[in-house]
Amino acid sequence: MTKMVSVDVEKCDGCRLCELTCSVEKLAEFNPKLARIQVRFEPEGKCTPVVCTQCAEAWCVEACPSGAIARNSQSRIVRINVDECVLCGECVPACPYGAIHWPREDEPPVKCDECGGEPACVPACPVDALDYATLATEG
Amino acid sequence: MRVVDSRRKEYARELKHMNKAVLGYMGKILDIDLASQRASVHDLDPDLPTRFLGGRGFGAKILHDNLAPRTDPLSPGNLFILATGPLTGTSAPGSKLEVISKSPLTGGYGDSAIGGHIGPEIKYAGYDVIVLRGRCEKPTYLWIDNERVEFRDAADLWGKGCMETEQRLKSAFNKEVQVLCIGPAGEKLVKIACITHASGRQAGRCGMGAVMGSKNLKAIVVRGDQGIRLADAKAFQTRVMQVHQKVLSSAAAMDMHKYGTAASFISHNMVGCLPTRNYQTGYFEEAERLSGQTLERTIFVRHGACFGCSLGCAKWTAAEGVCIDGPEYETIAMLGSNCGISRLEAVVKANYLCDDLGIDTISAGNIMAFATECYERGIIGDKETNGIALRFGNEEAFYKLIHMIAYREGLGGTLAEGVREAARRLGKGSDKFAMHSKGLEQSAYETRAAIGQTLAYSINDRGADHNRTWSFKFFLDDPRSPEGKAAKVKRNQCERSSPDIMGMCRFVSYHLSFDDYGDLITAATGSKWTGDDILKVAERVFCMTRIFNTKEGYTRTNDHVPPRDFEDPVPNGPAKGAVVKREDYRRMLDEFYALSGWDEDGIPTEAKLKEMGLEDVALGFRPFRKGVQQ
Repeated sequence: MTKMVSVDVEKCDGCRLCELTCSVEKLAEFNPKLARIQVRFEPEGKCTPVVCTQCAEAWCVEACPSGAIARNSQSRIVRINVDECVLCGECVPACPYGAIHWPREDEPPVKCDECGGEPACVPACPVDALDYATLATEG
Repeated sequence: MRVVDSRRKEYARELKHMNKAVLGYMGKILDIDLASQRASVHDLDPDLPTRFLGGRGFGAKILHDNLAPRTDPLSPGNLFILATGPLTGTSAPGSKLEVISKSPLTGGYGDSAIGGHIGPEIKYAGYDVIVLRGRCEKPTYLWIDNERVEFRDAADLWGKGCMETEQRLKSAFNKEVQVLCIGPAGEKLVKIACITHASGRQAGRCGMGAVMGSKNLKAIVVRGDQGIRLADAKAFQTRVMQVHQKVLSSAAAMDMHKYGTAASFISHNMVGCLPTRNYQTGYFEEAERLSGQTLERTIFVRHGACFGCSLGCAKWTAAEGVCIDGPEYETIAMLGSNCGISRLEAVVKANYLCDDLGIDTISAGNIMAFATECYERGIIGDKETNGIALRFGNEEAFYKLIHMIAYREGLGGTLAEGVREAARRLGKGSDKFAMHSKGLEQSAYETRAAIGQTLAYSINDRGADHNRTWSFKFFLDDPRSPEGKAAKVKRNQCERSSPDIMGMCRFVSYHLSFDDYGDLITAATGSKWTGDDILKVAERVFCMTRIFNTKEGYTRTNDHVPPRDFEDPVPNGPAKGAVVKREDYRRMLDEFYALSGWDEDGIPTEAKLKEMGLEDVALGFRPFRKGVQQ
């Protein structure tokens, strides 16, 4: 069964608890800039959480010249191997969803790894804008 | 992930060498001299978190220690302080930033809180507090990017509204930044000017926008990517998730989420405390049309939330060609019922104008209603209003008047000085209709219906505002009797003002206990904090601001209420006939002073200052005390 973090943009009110929870889970500190999920703000209160869906046709994998980005065939999760990353940044514009985030240019970009199957951001969302569920197409 | 492991190790290593006394804080104060364009960074004195916790506590102490009494609030000598608390920028619900300065509106201690994302960003840039002093030579904006501080030319932003200013600044950087800015009103030193962030979040009260304007500072742009490290992040996060659950399972909180802060609009009207036509009464016959429920049904667009908030009280609405974050309860009451306006759409438009031009909606609604009552009573006429028929309910007149105040045109110039000064200038007995205490325009509660709030407004350090003491729920218990009100005000004053000190929003705090906050601060700082410890800090901060005001020459006479409270019985509605008896008010005030450890002049006694651990403050305070040799 394949699951993914899905977003309901109509529900998001922009509190950024997902970013906070992600950063404390991954880094043991509150630092939304380094979170793997990012809420994008537009005028008139529109906001959209952006997060990797581990999509089947992963353009980031194709774009990476050093082979640092690879998919785990069992878990389906696409990860960035920090030892192989050459900090070229090619993966960032390659993702059509903007789900690869590069907050510090002297460090490798970051992306969601679904916390190994229990994404911390999902239960932290107070308005149920995030869900971690089986893809509908696969029943 | 290895990056995580290495960062965790580095974190653990650093934690060992960190100053234990400031764990949970960034540990730095950014001190900026605008005149010489120099910035320096100081370590946070561990005494500040220990005695004053954060936010308004930090600001009040720094202002007291560094500002000479009788400094002109609009002179370069005034300090402009931005302070965060230990919970700001964490996952605790509803981060706030406190803006602290000597108020040009009241002439005393002033502050105002602002939500959105700006407080957290200042912490991520590495600072607990930013202190600004002096005055920029020409219009300037500050760009603070972590440790880098730049002074940038704001000539082409000067004169622009808050909406355009913020939008232009946001697109000037290729990074996500947060902006604090003023509009034309702040530039023109309008005493009720506010500071705007995220288009709909304001530090509205006490004329903080005028202080920024007096410093030629159009905006402050901030970005930071430094993490907030806590003593026990895991324990904190576990506890904070319980706290969010508590908020989400509260029916009242979810009502506020659905309808906004105006969820309670009708209930205020039902007890007769909804300010109507310049507080002439507390009952508005068309309140139904202005309620949060009507808002949700008619002009609602989407929900909004401040940083880390699970309650999410912000409501985006659209009407009259504009889309805004708001209006909330205070704005609807002040620009609605208090101006005799019953159309929410008109309130939205007036709210937009105030936000864009940069004036506080509470003070604006109060002052415009004052001018309207003066016009209807013949104290001012068409000559003063430039031909505007300033009558309650006249929407167009109020749109024009907002412009006139913001740009100081005609009568607007007089009103821009605040309601106390405007009444002094207009004369002819108009002071009877000026609804303020200490020069701060009364907020959206008519108090004759529940006289506990009369006391609350009068003893508040910054003036007639509900953010220190407010709870009609308990003032409604035998509401016209002075019995036991002082004790309730005393208790509520500490409870209600604590979130400002922690760097949090008080709307969420209604649904939590002080032990929740104690646990969070303990996990954040590594020092044991109980709910009572927090309340004690709140009392200490109140003593601190009281002393600040005493040094400015405030005495018992500055704890006053508008004459209307004593002289005009409520003409209609549920509180019909209610009026405050002078002897009742005096009794409440005496009791309150006694409970607070203040003498009959309202000055904290030496013993009280000692009990509060404010010996250092008492030292400089002695010359001001009666009967003590200088």
